[in-house]
Formats: sequence, structure tokens, C-alpha cells
Amino acid sequence: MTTPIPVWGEQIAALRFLAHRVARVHGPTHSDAVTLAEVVNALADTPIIDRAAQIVLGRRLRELTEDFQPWAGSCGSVCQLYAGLASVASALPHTHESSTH
Amino acid sequence: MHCATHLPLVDLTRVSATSILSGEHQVILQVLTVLEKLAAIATSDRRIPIDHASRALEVLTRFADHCHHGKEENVLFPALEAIQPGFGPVQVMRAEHVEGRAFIRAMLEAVAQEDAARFAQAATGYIALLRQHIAKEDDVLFRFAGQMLTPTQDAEILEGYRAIEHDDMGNGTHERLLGIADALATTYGVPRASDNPQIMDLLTAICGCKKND
Repeated sequence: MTTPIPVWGEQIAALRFLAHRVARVHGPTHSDAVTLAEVVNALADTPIIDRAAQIVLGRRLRELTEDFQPWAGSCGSVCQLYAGLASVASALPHTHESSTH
Repeated sequence: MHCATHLPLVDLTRVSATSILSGEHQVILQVLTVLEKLAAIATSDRRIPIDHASRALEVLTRFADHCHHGKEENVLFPALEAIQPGFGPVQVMRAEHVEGRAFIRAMLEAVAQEDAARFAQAATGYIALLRQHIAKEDDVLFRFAGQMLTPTQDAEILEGYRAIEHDDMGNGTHERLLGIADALATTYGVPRASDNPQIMDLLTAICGCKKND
């Protein structure tokens, strides 16, 4: 229980709040924002050791955000969310790792 | 003068000067439950889980004290005192904030010195103080405040909160601290306040984006 919490675990827990705000504000015009918040929620709730689920959710994040590129004219919160998700995604296990472990 | 028991409870379904603070209270209570578990480990194992204790103290120092108490002391309380000079409950709350800071200093020193007994003692004192403090604010002060503030004053207070949360704390800091609070809660099996949709809405109600961002 007293092992340190991984950095990305804290990051995704923080991004869960930002994703919720973005979904509430931009959901009516960008429906993917609502789905994105659900995926961020799922990733935040995924056990640290569940690498298979992390890979799937990481891919889904990349698809929903079109490779973490904010839409044209997006606000500061969206840019902050996408930058944070790109950072988290880079720390997640990748597909090629799953086949070797 | 109204009786507090006959005033309506803080309405958590509506964003207001008091509901925002009541929502934050739920996160602080969550971190206090984690702190209680850390104090129990310090007592039973005679060692402090340093990484987790430092994380919890960062949330209590920056989120609970700097941000949350900052909103109260710099925005809400002056507004209430402007309406009713010498408003007694506010003076009591300010004094308890000062008392809480002494406990936090003691915990920080105990962590630095790896003094498990002192950490457990200070944590226990802080938990007791803050739990009764939060109950007084939610059950008495905020119910009076809800009756005292006009919609215009309420909106001005919310703008003051935005300034503290984003301009003062820095964009992203509020979410980062909430993230630490939730990561600790998950680690110690403590329910997350943010799993309540009403609380989640209140915790994310204030946006740092300027209007034309």
C-alpha cells in the first residue's frame, strides 16, 4: 500500500476533472468530448497493473482526439486536456510491448 | 435573527458561493480519511509512509488551506462582514484556520524528521479540528450566508473564486491537487467525493478560460 503512486496515475486522475469540465462546456457542440470524458474516467479507474486495458484505452484516446490535436479555435482547457492526455498516453504501455510480455 | 436549523441546507445542485465551498469540503473530508489511515500506520508501524504523507500534506496545504481557505478568507468572509460588520461566526472560522495551520506545520516537521509519533499526534488533532470546522461551516455559516447574499453578490464572489483558483494558483493546479487527492483515495480504499455527480459538477464549475479563449 505504501509504494509510490505512478506519476501517470496522478496525471490521469487530474485529467478526469478537466475532461469532465470540457465535456460539460463543449459536449453540446463536440459530442466526442463526452465520450472522451468517459474514456478518461475508465482509464483513471483501471488498475495500474492492467496493461491490456491501458493499451485499449490509450488507443481510444488517440482516436477520439485525432492524435491529441485540439480542434481549431479550441479554448485553453481543451488544449490543456489534450496536452495532458498526450503525456499520459506516452507513458502507457504500447501494443508492441504487450506482445513481448 | 434566523435560527440556523430553520434555514435551508446548502443546495448542491446549484453553483453558488456556498455550494462550491461545500463541494470542496467533501474532498477535504476524503483526504482527512486518508490522513487518518496514515496516522494509524505511523502509530502501529512506528514509521511514516513518507511519499503518501507528503502527497496528502501537499493537498491539505495547497488545496485545503491556500485555495479553499483562501476563497473563504479573501472573498466570502469579507463579503459577509461587509453586509454584517463584526459577523461572529466568521471570526471563529478564521481562528480555526490559524489553529489548523499550526497542526499542518507540526505534520510537515514530523515528516521531515521522520517522527512517527509526532506525525500521528498532529494528524489526529488536525482531523478532529477540521471535521468539526467543516460541519460548522456547512450546517451554520453557509446556511446564513445563503440567506444574506444577493444573486449579484453571489456572482461577484464566484469571480473572486475564479481569480484564486486560476490566476493565483495557476491553471491546472486545482485539477492536479484534486487528482492527487483521488489517487490517494484509490490507494487507501477511501470513497472519492468526485464519484458523486453533483460534487464533480461543483469541483469543475469554475473555468479558467478567459471569455474569448
